Amino acid sequence: MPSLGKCLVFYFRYQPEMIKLYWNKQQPEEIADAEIHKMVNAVGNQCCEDVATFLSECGVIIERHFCRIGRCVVGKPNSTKWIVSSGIWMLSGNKPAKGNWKMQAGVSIPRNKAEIIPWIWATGKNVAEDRMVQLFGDAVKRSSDVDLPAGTVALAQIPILLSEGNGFEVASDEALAQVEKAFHSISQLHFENVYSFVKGLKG
Amino acid sequence: MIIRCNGCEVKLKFPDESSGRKFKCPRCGHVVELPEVAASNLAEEFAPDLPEVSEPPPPDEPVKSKEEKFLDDLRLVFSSIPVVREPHEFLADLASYFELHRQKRTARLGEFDRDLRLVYASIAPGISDTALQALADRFDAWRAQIKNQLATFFAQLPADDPLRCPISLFGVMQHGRVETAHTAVLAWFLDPRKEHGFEDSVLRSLLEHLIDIAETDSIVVEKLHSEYPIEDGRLDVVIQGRLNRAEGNSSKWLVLIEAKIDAAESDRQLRKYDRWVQKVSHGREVFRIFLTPDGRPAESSEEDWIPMSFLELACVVRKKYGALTDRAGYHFLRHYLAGILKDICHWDLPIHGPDKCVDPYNFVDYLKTVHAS
Repeated sequence: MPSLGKCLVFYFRYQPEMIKLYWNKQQPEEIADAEIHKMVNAVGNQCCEDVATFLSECGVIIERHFCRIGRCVVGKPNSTKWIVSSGIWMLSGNKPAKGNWKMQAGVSIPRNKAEIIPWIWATGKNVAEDRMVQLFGDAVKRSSDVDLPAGTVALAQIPILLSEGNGFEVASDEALAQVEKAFHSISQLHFENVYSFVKGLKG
Repeated sequence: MIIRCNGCEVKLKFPDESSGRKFKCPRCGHVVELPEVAASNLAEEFAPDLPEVSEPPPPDEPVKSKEEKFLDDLRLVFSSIPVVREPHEFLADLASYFELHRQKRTARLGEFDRDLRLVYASIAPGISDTALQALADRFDAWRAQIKNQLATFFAQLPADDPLRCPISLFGVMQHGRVETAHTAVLAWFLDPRKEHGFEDSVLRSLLEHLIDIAETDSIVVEKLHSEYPIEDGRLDVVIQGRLNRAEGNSSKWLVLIEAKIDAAESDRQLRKYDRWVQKVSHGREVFRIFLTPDGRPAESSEEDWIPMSFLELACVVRKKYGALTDRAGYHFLRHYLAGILKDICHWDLPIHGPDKCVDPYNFVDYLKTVHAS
């Protein structure tokens, strides 16, 4: 099982500082030390690698589930946006043309919040979102609650548990099990229902 | 004796005592009848110079091809195995054998992967716990310093600051993150001709963020649109105007604002706007602003879209806020800014002290603006 990595744990413990220095490339006068910036870059780069490894495992989970209840093509994890996504379609249907997916499944790790979000997206923005909320029940969160694009529902918000004290290690086994559980909550019936509903929608 | 095969014309060599008998040619299988000795001598004498092949097997053994020999061997092997198993049992065993083989292979790959990581970790410059702890200590010290600043700024924060306001303008209507609502109101604030009474204050603050403007320079707005239709899209805000410098010269400008709150950036949208700008800019200085919650850069355009976060926008507007308290649109502006902080930046308004500041750096950026204004 992949580890979430000590750098990622460090990142989320010092997320405001890492966002400012690593992502926004700011050089505040309080941290005018080249060595610190070098270290921040090394930690940030390692985080991106660790996240990509973890998301690859999530991709395997997505593929396993959706190839059972439908069809699925998983893309490569995006190591800067911290997201893995896949195109999904019905067992009986044809594969949609590239860039014309009707539904997608994926996992995101928001760069500003220590949590893992397995999600389902369907074309049709809020109309599709309403349908999914209606079908999947109260367990799912709307896109606006988790800062995801309209048409997406979050199947879970899995916290990355940061241990107290000085250690920087967190095992990922439990997190992966929760990702799997979240996708398992989508049955073939629900999936096909949403797919049939959004097939004719746009956006 | 040496004779030639009639089938393939190969030269064959036989012992003299085989004369008068029949053989199969070892190359083509044609039956060769050996002549009497005297005749063979004659044949040998006149035989053309042909390649020789090895001597064929003794004439009393049957001549068999390789395939026939193999089939004979196979029959022998199979006849020695008693048939006691049903085909499905055999297939099940075969499947379990393959599964075992696959598991062993996976396990070997897993070991390889682990070993590779260990080797890589031992040769690559790793990040040790000690180094991380040193960085953590540095960040802790920085954070403590910022929190001290926060406490100082909060002590000076006016009572009517949007940060202390619990009500979001659009949140009440469940439109807290609706792009079109935000940009329509932003366009209204930016238009000096509207009834808010701010004149050009908000627009001036935005232009000051983009270019150097002196207090004495005057701003003339020629056109201002929100949701401006371009091809099959709508550009959120378009402002066209002139800046008349105090020293007499003037410059023309065009400001475009495209906002994205929860929507993803579509592939061709910004490029479409870029094409339109090329046609209409006519030598104007063009400022393209890509407004998002996190201030991320635009990805779908090769032009220079300036990334701006909603917090930056709130800071830009907040700079003029203190001078607008007696104007008609003041309270409207207060609730609009509170909405940006609450619904888009996810700040837990009202905030009266540093305890609720999750990201102290962003709060300090905002409060520095308040302090400076």
